[in-house]
Amino acid sequence: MNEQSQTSDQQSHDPLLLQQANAALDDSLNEIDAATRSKLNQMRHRALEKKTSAWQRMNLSQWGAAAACTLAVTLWLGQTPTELSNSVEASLADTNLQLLQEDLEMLEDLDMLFWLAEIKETNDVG
Amino acid sequence: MITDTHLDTPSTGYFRQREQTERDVTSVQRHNAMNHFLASVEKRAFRMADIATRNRDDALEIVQETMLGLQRYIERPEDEWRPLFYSILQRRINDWHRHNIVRSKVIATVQWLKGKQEPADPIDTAQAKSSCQPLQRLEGELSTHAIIDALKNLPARQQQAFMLRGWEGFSVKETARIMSCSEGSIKTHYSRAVHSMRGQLEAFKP
Repeated sequence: MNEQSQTSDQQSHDPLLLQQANAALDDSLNEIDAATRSKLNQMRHRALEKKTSAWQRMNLSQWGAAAACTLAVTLWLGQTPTELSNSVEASLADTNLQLLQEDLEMLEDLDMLFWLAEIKETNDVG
Repeated sequence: MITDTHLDTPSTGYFRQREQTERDVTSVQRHNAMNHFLASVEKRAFRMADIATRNRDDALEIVQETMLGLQRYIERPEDEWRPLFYSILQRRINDWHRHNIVRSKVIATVQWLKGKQEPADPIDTAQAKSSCQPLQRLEGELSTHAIIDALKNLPARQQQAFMLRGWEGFSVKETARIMSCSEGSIKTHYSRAVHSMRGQLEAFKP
């Protein structure tokens, strides 16, 4: 296994190719047309204008708790008995789906955030 | 009994106002820092998404979603923004690939049901998109377009591994986190990408 990864590392070590590829990619940035640049600029300003909501300002542990609660509610609603009217059920399903999607995205980001915090801790201890 | 109104003396009012002003200043500083960060990565992100999708509008949409996704973390330390940004970007690109596969299947099925024409062979389409020409060789140096085309021809994961490791300079560990896969997979994807690029560009060497 180790030998395999060493061989693959040696095979992937091609400084000339890497240098050429990086130069090509850097050059390609200058070829981005004015319309696209302007669009990127507008998009950046639009993204920054978006207000950060309270839940987005929560810390890691609060996020974890909120995500767990929402998932629990989502699972519970999945078992809701049939007495709920169809319309209510449909709207709940929509909201649920949106929440679930946001939660999943948040959980994926959380994984990265926890890892970054871990790295920082390790660096601080070291 | 002391109530809030008793505590709200002119001096506490001053401190509250001062705290609020400090919060506003910090908020403006973070806004500016995020603006500066996004401006520094937006073109690179667009190029990555453009290579992955080969479609300007789709690439722009991916970058926009990534910016909005990162904006949630404006309060997080600035050194976390870059890995977070690329992690969100890679997820958006992967989502695009997934949607694209589903869309292609639906279109192929609809065409098949209509019986108008045979579904397009994906290999033919890929060959048609490849535009490497011998003219792209410039006095012994590989042209930008030849290299970008070679990158476009790589499978999605190899593209991502190559650009994150090689171009963005992330470590194997960081790339693995960003792409949500093992370090071993990153080494394999990267090695295959280099091998494939070398093979594709061999034809353009003098």
